[in-house]
Amino acid sequence: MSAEVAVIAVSCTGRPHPGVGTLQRERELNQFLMRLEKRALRIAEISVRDRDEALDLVQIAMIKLVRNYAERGEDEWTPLFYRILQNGIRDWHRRQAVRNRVMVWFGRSKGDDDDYDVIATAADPVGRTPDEQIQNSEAMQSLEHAVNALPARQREAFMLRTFEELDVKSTAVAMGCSEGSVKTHYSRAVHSLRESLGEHWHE
Amino acid sequence: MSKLDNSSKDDKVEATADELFAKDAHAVFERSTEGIDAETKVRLNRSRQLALAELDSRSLVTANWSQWVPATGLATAAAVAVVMWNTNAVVEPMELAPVSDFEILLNEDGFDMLQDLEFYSWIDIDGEPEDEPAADANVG
Repeated sequence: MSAEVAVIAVSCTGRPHPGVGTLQRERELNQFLMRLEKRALRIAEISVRDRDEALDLVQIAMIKLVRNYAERGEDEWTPLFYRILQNGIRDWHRRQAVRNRVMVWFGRSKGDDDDYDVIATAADPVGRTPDEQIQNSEAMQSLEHAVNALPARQREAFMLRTFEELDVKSTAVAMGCSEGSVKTHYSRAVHSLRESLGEHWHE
Repeated sequence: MSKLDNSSKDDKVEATADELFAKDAHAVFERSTEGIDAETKVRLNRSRQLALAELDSRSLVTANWSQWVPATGLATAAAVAVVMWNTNAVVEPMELAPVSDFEILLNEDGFDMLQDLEFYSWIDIDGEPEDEPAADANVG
């Protein structure tokens, strides 16, 4: 009979209310996403050259992160988030490629919808002199164009390492490749960008 | 040696230039994120809230399950108690029905037997009918 008592005792052990841990996690996730959302949006925007599409991609990445990885350690969230986002961006490009092929087949040219205006979507200036604003805006436009001209993997490596300041290990997780590949892609990206932007970029 | 020295010096200069470029690029990028317009900020906030709502719905599901845990535990305890209670009784292995029983059932008279099941079970309990003396016992 003692076994019965033990079983009952185990089944009725007091557990903390599930909401307590969830609230704490919710706060942590909220702060994490707040810290990263603007950079993530700009990274997505540079990749897909469309703010609405970028917002959708960021939202999907946020939801997937919370749904699948909320229980993971906070230090794992950044590479996981960017992995989801980069996968989303890659899928978006694949869909666009198919869409463009179909459009060409129906007789519409590829550039019909390519009305992305870098100046219109440029950030609003905050606390800077007009000269600084213009200088930064121009520098960002040149950088965006140069980054967009990079091969996809180099672009990913550059943006994650430089814009998000991920280390090599986290970038490898985010890109789903080896650390060696990250170093190679990043190094090639920096050299290409320096070459295309010139030595006097942003001076 | 001097060639090696020169190449390593060049590498260092290149690495420094790369680092400076990366720093500049980061600064330019950061400034571009600082001035994101209000409408976009609202949309980002909405996206974040949507994502966090996912966490709430997940915890609700967990909470619903956790409500069932004590009830399930009690049911398990009751089942264990019943099993322990019954372990005192010696469970005898079930005898397999002899093949002859099937033969009876398959027999044409099978249905009659089923109708008079009580009688047949009585016969079975009272034992086999006494062996009839062999027909040829008195012979010789």
